Amino acid sequence: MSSKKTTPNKGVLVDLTKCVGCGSCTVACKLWNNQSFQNPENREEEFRNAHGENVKLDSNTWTTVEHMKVQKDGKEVWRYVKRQCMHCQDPSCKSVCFANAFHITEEGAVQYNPELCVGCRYCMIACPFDIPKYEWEKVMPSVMKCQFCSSKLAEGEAPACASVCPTNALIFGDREALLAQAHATISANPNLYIDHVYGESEVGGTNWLYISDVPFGDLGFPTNLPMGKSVPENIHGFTRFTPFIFAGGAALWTGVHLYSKRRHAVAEAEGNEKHD
Amino acid sequence: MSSRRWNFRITPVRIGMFAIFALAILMILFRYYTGLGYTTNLSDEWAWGAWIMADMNVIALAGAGFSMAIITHVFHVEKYKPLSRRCLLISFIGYVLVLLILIIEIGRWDNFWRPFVSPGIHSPMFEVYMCIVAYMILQVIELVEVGTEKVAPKVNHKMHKFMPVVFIIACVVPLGHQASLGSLYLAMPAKLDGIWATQMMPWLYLLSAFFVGPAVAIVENIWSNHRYNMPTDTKMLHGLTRISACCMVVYFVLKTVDLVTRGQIGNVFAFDLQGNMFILEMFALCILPIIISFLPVGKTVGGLLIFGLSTMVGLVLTRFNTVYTGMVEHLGATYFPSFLELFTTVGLFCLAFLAYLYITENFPFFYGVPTDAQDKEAAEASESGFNQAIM
Repeated sequence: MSSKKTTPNKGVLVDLTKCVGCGSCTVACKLWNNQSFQNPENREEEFRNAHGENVKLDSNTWTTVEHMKVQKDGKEVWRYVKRQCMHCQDPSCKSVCFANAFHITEEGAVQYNPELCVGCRYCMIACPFDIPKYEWEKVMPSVMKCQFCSSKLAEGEAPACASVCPTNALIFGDREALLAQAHATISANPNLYIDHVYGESEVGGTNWLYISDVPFGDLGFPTNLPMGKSVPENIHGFTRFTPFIFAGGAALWTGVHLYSKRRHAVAEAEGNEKHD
Repeated sequence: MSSRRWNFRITPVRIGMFAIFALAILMILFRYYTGLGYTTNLSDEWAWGAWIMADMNVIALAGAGFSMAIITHVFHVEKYKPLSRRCLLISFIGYVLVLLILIIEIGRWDNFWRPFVSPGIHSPMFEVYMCIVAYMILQVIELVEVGTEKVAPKVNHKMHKFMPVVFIIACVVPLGHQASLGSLYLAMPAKLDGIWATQMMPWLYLLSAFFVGPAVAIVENIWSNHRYNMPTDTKMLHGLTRISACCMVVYFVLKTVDLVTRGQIGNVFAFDLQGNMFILEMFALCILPIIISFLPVGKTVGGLLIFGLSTMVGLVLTRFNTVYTGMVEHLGATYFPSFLELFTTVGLFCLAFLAYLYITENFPFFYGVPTDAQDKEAAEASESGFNQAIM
């Protein structure tokens, strides 16, 4: 799927049953990434929480914890859903970028390089999780999204968010090990958890994995994604025909051109006996 | 030709269009000065809006240049030659318009050259970009051939040695970007409504961009004839509708088979926004034009005009339905273009239209029809020549 790498992909396992919605991770994210707590579009709103009801990711907020009231066993319950870039193993954003502004680090973090960005915003449209956001208010804007604290990852450290989680709802580690752990947790508590590790095979697999006791669809996760097949593979289903389109087109048109020209010449030589 | 006079008739409509364009320029400067967030209604949800929609439509309609070139320079159907030259012009102006809109639309316009040095070859957008640039270079060569015809016959004669090769390459390259435009939306299989989200999209985009060409040619021809008080050769134009109509039948069958095999046919008749818009799209793009083409009314000027306009409206609907209707369920109905987005688009269309008028009045884009710069005498002398060319 991805290139020849020596380091195993890092990931984070999010256990939604353990999250209490404190929002520490969102604060840690802002502090580490030096982001403002103010809403640039609305200065009157002095302090902006990145956790609470109806919170949204934006260019200045790379992770949120959304407080959601959902139905479980006929009762209303609160669930707290952390959102950030899922760090796909075969990411759409990287594949659709026509200026190669995205790359994947050794640890599997999907990185964005504003230097190369043309600002077409195809990545924003193409992301299956609607993660990349734009600096709309800036004259020379960039795309913004969670970078998986790649400099921390390179040092073997956990990302800022996971390192501050007080309830162990965020567990950082090798993706393969986390996947095994997720399945072990589910099978140890089959009555509690939904039997699905979100991110295991969604769009070919993501480095962030989720387990939950409430159906993922109710928590705002897209549930109609291609399983075990990445979006780039979907595009490649067409782009692999490109050389054939050009070669075939050139051959066909040349052939028809020569044939029809010859036919005209013959027709003229025969003294225009043919129809109009 | 040293005494050649450049001429541009000034009419109130043209002054009006120029005024709109001038205002649009001010707005564009304002957009560069303040940024996209302040001037547009684009958002994190609706990252693509009216400008992208305009671009997708103009590229497809500018396909007129490529489909008419295939008909005249590859299949050598001589009778359509007078049309193909003007379609080349319309097409070129269209592509310039696309680039102008894009340079306002993209956030980092100063980085427009990056894909050349840091190519994202796996992106459909890369193919679109490269093909359009390559195609425009070819179009410039083709236009130089037209421009030198009277001004520099010697150069023109030399160009004829390699023009067939240029014509053929120029018929191959657009296959790439017209199809790739459809493949842009292959990246959103889970977001785009099931009616449109199909692996067939690139091929459907390619086919529709091809068969809308004759429709554009017909509308342009009827309008030009009206402009110059010329009779319309309905027989010739009707032949063109048949070429399109055959492709439309293929398109209709392909799309129907695609909907049936993906189990989406029920959604078409669900009487919701998506279903209704799709039916409208198919009606304007295929059903109505096919019917007109195979009825006697297709041989009248009115019928031909409806054929052309309906196909063009249908094509605009296909692009509108992918960019907006098919995405509205996922993204939410929160976008309507801002005044600036709409006005700048209209302003640049005005510029394109003025460019078309200026060029056709000063260069030989009408076989036998004098440019306004030439004498009335020449007009009468070449009247017969025009008729010969068109017959």
